[in-house]
Amino acid sequence: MCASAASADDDPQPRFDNRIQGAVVGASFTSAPVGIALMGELGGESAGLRSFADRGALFSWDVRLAAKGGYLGNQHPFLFLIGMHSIAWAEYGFRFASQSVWSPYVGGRVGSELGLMAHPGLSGSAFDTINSVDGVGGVIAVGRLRLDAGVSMLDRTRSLLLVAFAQEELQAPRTNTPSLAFTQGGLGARFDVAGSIIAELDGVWGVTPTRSDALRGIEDRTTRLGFSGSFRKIFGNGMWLGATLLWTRDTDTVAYANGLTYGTANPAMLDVELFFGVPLWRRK
Amino acid sequence: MSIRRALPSLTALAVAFAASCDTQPDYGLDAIDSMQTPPDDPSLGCGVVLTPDSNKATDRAGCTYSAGAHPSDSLGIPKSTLAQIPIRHVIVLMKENRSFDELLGRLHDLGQPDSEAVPASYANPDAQGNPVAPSHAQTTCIPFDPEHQSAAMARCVDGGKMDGFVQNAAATTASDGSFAIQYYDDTDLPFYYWLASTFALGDRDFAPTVSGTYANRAFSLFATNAGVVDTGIQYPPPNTPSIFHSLMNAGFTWGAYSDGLLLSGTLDWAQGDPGTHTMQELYDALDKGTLPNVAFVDGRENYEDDHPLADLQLGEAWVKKLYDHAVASPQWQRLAIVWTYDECGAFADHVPPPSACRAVPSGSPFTEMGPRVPLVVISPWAKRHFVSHVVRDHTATLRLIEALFDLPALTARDANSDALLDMFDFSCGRDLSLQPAPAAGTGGCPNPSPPGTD
Repeated sequence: MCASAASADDDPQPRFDNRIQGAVVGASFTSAPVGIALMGELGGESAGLRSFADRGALFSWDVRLAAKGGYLGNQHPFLFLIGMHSIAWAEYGFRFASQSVWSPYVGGRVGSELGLMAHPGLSGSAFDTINSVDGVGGVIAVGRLRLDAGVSMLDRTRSLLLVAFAQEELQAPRTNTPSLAFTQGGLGARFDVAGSIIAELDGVWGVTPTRSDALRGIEDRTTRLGFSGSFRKIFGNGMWLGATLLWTRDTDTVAYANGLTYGTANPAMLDVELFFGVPLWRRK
Repeated sequence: MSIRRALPSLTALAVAFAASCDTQPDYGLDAIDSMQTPPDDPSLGCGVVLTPDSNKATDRAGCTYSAGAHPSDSLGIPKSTLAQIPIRHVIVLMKENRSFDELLGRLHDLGQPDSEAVPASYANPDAQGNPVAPSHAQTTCIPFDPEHQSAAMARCVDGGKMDGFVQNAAATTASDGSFAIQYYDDTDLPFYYWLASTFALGDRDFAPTVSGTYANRAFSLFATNAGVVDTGIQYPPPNTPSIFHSLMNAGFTWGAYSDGLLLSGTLDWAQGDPGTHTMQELYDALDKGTLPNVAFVDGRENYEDDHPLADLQLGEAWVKKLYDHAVASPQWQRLAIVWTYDECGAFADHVPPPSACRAVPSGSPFTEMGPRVPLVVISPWAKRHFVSHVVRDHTATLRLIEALFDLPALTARDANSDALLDMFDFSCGRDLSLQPAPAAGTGGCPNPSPPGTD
């Protein structure tokens, strides 16, 4: 079955293995600075956490690729968008006290978010002739590199990771938004119950380097505060029901050459998604 | 853990996040509420001579200047001369959705022959292709609001043929669309016609872009549309440099005044936000001589702001009240009121919009202005009974403010704009007295709408 309980395999210690893999159908609500979006998606997902090396290492991942479509309410009539969206990350980490339930843990993660959401009849280069769709439509490309340090609890059926992390996040330029590079720090937690639950919660804060506008004598630095959470309930038949929640808010410190500084804030972005997964095949 | 136990927690979490999800942009302007307006220099008065520099005008037409350019550079007027201009307070009175031809097209035949007349041959085809000529509107409260965002406005302009207004109105209202090419005259709007004929009128003032309220008003505050194309639920990013920041950086003050949607909703501001005030506070400031350096004034939407379905005569009376306070103000000798409209609202105008400089190289590629709108400069220093034919858009008002307070240009659009200065005469010995103004018109609207209805 796709969602499996712990199994013995060849390890002296039974391997922890909690995973989902299959097709997903979902719906999302997004309140973004550029408007409110209601979207549906259909695709596939693989996510999970496994132990290796006699419980001395953990590999966790989440890869979701989906066709996505829906409406962005940033003008009248609402803007129909269709395309693809993917979120992918993978983390490999070490449990230094592999034989203990509780162990110090360090890990490294690479991740990305890629989206290409088009409006039928509008070329990709013409998004600057309609209301901004930044963050919801057009091209979305974000890369992340993260280092974790914390503790791991691992017993036969449960895993808990509590980490602090440092992260570099690179956001490619959007139609009306320049490229941004955030240096971030945060706290994360992940809880797995084999064959039953995958739950994650992250909080992150970071800043960009200062951007200078020499023509107008302005220096601008963006700060991003974000929270994300996800929860998947895995059923006995391998199907799963999931929910993700993302909240971020960008604020800018804008300093003018004469010394006055303004603290501005974008509207927050809230994204809530519910999805249902069906395993495409069962593991033996 | 069962899904039944988890769902309430997740729902509560989502609700908590949603409740904390502030959808209003914060422009970081809190300091304005504690700023003091600098005292007016009592030595400022008549005698400033502004000599136009034709070379600079050529440079501006060629989009030579960039963001950051100071008015003394792009206008060719020394900084010391600009500093002697006696005007230290500007009221930007921006109303909604009327074209020049609709409101003031008859002025050419009604006391101001120097203003452009509507050509006798001008007409728009109706839905069947039959020509519809301009005619006198029978009501000052037209019961229709034609579609006037970018796609519709492009159809109205029709590549410069200016012949799509009636068909657009027919397609987007329950009418034959002929109202979109109707006009008013001095029997309908006696005070508006008096203002336009008495003070300095521009008959080549265009909306900054071919779209609706938010994009055009964004140009009036940021000198760019800042990613906003159509009016909706989208606002310029709050870190976009604005005239508010420029004024505060230089130690000058501003206020946004309305009893309804401040700045017509363009920035999603509400009463209580930094720099916001009621109309009574504006009247009090005029009466006491405590105006900020720049006041942005808007009527209640669809009621006092002339936006359909408003009764134009009610909006005219609202302007008359403001005018009466202004001329009686101890700051009248330091005041200029720029009365204009954000965009034409898909009401017909016969003059094809010209092109303009691209505001931000990497920003929205809008270089085509929208149809003409009325613009009148009301000031003791405004040239009397004068018509300016200089081509410009809302960023000219920005450039006027920048010229008066020595502020840098926000983008290339205002950097390369005229600054309305040809509409002023600061020479000594002029008769600055005013004839009594007529009252606003009455009786044009049998069934006016209550405030805020559309």
